[in-house]
Amino acid sequence: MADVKLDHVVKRFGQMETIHGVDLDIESGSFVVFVGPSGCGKSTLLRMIAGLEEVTEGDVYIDGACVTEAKASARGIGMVFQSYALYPHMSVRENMSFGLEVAGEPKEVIEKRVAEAAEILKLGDLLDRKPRQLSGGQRQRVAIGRTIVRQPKVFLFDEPLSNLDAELRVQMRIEITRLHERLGNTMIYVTHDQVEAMTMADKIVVLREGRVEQVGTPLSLYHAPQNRFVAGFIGSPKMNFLPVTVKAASAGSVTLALIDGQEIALAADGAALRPGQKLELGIRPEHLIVGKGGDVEISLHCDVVEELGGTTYVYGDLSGHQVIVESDGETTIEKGKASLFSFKKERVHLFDENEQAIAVERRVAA
Amino acid sequence: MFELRTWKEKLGFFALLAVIAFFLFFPVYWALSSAFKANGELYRMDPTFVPHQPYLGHFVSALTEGPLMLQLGNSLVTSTASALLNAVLAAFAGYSFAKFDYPVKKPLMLLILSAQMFPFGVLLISIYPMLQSVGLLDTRVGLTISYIVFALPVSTYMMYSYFKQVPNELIEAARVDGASNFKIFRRIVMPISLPAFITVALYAFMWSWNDLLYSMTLITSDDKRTVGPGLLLRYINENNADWGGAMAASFIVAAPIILIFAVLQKQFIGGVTSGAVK
Ligand SMILES: Nc1ncnc2c1ncn2[C@@H]1O[C@H](COP(=O)(O)OP(=O)(O)OP(=O)(O)O)[C@@H](O)[C@H]1O
Ligand SMILES: [Mg+2]
Repeated sequence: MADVKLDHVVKRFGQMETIHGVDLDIESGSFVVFVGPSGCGKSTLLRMIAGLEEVTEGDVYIDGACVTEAKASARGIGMVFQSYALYPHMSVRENMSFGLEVAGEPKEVIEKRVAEAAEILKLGDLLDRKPRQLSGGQRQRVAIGRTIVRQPKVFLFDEPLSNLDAELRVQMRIEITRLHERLGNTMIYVTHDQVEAMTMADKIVVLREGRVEQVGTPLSLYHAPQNRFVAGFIGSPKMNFLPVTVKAASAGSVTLALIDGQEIALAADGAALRPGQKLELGIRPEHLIVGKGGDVEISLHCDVVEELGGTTYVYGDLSGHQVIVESDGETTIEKGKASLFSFKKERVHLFDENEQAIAVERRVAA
Repeated sequence: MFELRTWKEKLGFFALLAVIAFFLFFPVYWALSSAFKANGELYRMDPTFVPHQPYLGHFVSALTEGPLMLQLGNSLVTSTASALLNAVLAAFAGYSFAKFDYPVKKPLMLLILSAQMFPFGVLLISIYPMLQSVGLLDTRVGLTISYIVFALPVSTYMMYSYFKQVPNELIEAARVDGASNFKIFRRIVMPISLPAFITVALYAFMWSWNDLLYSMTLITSDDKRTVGPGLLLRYINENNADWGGAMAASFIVAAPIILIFAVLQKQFIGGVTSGAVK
């Protein structure tokens, strides 16, 4: 068990700076997920923790010790790669024992640890197979097994499930979560799949263009995103954003004009706002109610209705802006017509021109 | 792979193959059949296509009369040594080019490849005085080195291209596992690059085995001669009347190469890396 700390870590490839001073504290034993769009620097950050990429500026600490200059093998980490990176000419057993053998562990220890890992990952029958004789899921388990046997303090995963099909991905996701519960090690997991992030993480780190946008528990990111990017990134389908104009603002209340012309008063921090200012109102698809029942009613012209059985997605139009509504499968909405929807004021998010969140008072706990 | 569908396509394909095969193999066949003909049959005015009475005398005389055995030994030593040394050096150099970054890498690669642009005869002009100055003229060591000089650039480039395809993640995984650079090379990279290694070794082996010019120029003592000049000096002159012996000797000399190819053919078919990635 070990904590991981990043102290103003910067990465430059030549002239190009891709990580811009990241500070991060990862608690011992926690499951932390780095999430963000492609190219945001998740892998680079993980590889700097692993010691596979040089740190340009700043420091990396593992278990209290500064490892910025330490070799990958001396950091007490284990890494699972996206491509599995199994040694193709070695059997599963040899793949798993290679690291221990290199470390000069005695044969009995190697055998014992490989047997343990094989037991945990249900690889017992496959030990003498070559990687090419395994399925994708099995290869992924071997890759995890290979790191387990070395008993690392910190596990690092770089999109380990992205080569698997959807069904297997869900299964492996659960297996990795179980593994974390069983081993209790610190795990850092990179993905661009926000569902993986939400379901697996104790704590999510949202990255964008080499910067940390927000760090928090999955639910705190969901309920209280600090900016528009996080609000749009977490949650599926994406949060709806609608332009609004400030009509009146004070410390405890803001009156906004919606694009359909109606005015709504919110219990929000309007101290820094002035009338005429353009803001964005965010409301999640699952927080839009079919028919009456909310505080604010809007009429959407619905052009596409996707009925998945348990869930129905409605794609509506509000004065030229697309609005997605998620509802249960019970309600029927007619295509090509205007229908009435509503939402509760406490579900609303507000963002200023700099995409920063403006606090909205909520009765629901964040 | 494309499939030949209609019988017309198939017929055309095999006809084409037959023509190519004829041009490629008829001289070989003719030489082989001559080697098995006794002199009486060999020098008939109406040549026989298949030896009427297979005769092994030429093979026996080629091996027992004259220095062919000694020359085969010399060739084996120099070719094997240059093949292995060449492959090992090419592997190291190719790996460094493929997987490491250092300032002079690009110019160094160009320099090595540019050596390939000189015809081997021209290279010989500079190799000769160099070997002379270090006292390696007329030695098997000197000959071996000169073969490596010729084979190394292409071999390095071949190894480089192969290593380029070895996924970095494989090397990184081994690094996380604690293996040193050399251990990664030996335990991970080389085993999966065996086909390339063997190809490169064979390339140097064949080049040295089939060489005439270098051996002819650099070796002057009869006891160090290799098979190329050996065959030439013994059979290619106006006094030679032993054509059956020449053919037999040629086949004895060609045999090792044919044998090696037959045995190692499987190694050329890749697929060793499958299962590493994805
Ligand atoms: N070796 C390198 N040389 C130059 N630039 C690099 C190198 N590796 C990564 N980058 C750049 O750094 C940025 C971050 O890359 P990184 O691989 O960390 O992204 P990522 O978040 O893991 O993306 P993905 O989800 O696609 O894997 C990208 O803009 C990428 O082009
Ligand atoms: Mg990545």
